[in-house]
Amino acid sequence: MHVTKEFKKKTFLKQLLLGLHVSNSISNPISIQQRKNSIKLSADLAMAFARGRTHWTHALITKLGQKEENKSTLKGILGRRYEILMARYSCPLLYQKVQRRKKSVTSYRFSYNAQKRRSSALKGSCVRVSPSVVARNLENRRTKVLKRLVPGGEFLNGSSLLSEALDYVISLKAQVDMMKSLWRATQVSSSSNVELVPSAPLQKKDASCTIANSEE
Amino acid sequence: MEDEIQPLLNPTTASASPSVATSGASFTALLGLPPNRAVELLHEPTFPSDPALVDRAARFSVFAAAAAASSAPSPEVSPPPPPPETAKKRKDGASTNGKAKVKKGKHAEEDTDGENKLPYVHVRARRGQATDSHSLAERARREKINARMKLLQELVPGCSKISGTALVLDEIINHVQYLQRQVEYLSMRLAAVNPRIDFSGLDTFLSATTMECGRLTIGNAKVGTELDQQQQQPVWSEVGVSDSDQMNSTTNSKRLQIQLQQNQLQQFWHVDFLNTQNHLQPSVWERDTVMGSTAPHVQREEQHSFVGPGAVPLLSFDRVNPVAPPIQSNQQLKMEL
Repeated sequence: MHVTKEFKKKTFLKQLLLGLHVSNSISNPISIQQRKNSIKLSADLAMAFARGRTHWTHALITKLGQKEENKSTLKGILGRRYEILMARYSCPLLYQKVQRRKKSVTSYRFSYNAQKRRSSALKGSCVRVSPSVVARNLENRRTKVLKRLVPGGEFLNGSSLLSEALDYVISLKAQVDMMKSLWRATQVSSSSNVELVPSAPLQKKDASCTIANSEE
Repeated sequence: MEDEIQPLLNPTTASASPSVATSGASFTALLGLPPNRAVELLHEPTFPSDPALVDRAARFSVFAAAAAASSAPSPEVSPPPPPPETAKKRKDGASTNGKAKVKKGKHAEEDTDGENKLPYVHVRARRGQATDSHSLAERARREKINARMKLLQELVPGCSKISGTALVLDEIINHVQYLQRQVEYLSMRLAAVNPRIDFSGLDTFLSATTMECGRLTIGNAKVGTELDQQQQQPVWSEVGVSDSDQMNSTTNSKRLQIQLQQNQLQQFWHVDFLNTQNHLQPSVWERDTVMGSTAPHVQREEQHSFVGPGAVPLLSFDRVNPVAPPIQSNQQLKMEL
């Protein structure tokens, strides 16, 4: 949250355009689904790179790198850095934490069931659970869902999960905005709006015309 | 984030007491944005002692230094001896309930003094509450979580009215899922557009106009939220659009174009217009089938003056159809102007 999004925009755009270019060149005849996946991959990668080093970016890049189908696109995007980055981001530390977490989850489930059984045994057929337990259950269920949504969230508890989620939401918003602006750029430029432009900024148009031509 | 927090933490932890101040300093550094508020929420009050006022002033300055990370080092130098003592005193004295009353009394005077120095909200062991170290730590943890929840509530739209953790979490989850789906949708759209647009030229001009990009995205944020809520059904089959629908959407799209131009994004747009003039004719056919599907969404957005990207590609329909519709749309444009 210290890192402002000003930096993020430029790096994100550069990375995304690079990724799009690569995905263009790699999978020309292949289906839209694959192209979409490669674009999404490059967008997520760009977002993770632009954000810097946080827990969720690390987890996201690790997740992206582990899938088999992504490897060719990643190699194209990252180039020489691919080996270095993959070595850095395939950290075995996370797996150890997974083992510990699994045990705690099962124990909690066991205790919850025991509690339910006890309460149902006492009160008869209908299960009466006290309101605090209900609230706690709702909250726990939602926390589990949030853990699944946020990359790398399964290993975090309470407050750190919330802070990572906060960061992730901010980055997602920025990512969506950037992609939308890119989309609008492609849309507007290729539609027939040129004739609808009022005559006043025509001089600017001529000036920028030369720039555009020189770029292409 | 952790890398940036390290330099923040190191000078403060060196000076402040280990048990409480570190947690306070790290918490404020983690929170970042509202450091003063975080300090207020977390900070445990000092016990009344003879140099109490001095101690509290010192403590405020220590924590303010931790929060702001930019204050002069001089206030940090003086507090190191008093805060450890007061921290220890507090921990020892906290065990008795009788002291709570005394604390309350003397706290009142210190309150006004404290408020002169810093806006300060006291969180403390209320009368009758357990005051041992476990519950203190637990309360600190709970307040950490509550502070973060507040930040999340401010971030997620429409969450500030909701009270209760579970419902807020619900909203947050919905928002995250919505944003992820939006990314998928946008990537699908970009995938459809991709084959014709040459992206190598775009990055130079986009980097030159990132300011406009920022402004543009702010304007579009409203649009995107409304448009994308209805995007999830597979709409590929709905290419056929009635004439009346087309006319409505074309007027909307013209209005959109005018408004966007009025937003002083002219330079951005013009470079856009000229960039892909080469790609106009062939790309229209591909995008017709893709973008025709978004036409129905336009009709549902009555209350918004901005219309999302769904409207814009309908102009491509105009190019495909005979000349008559574009002429009509030009007339409409003149009327609106």
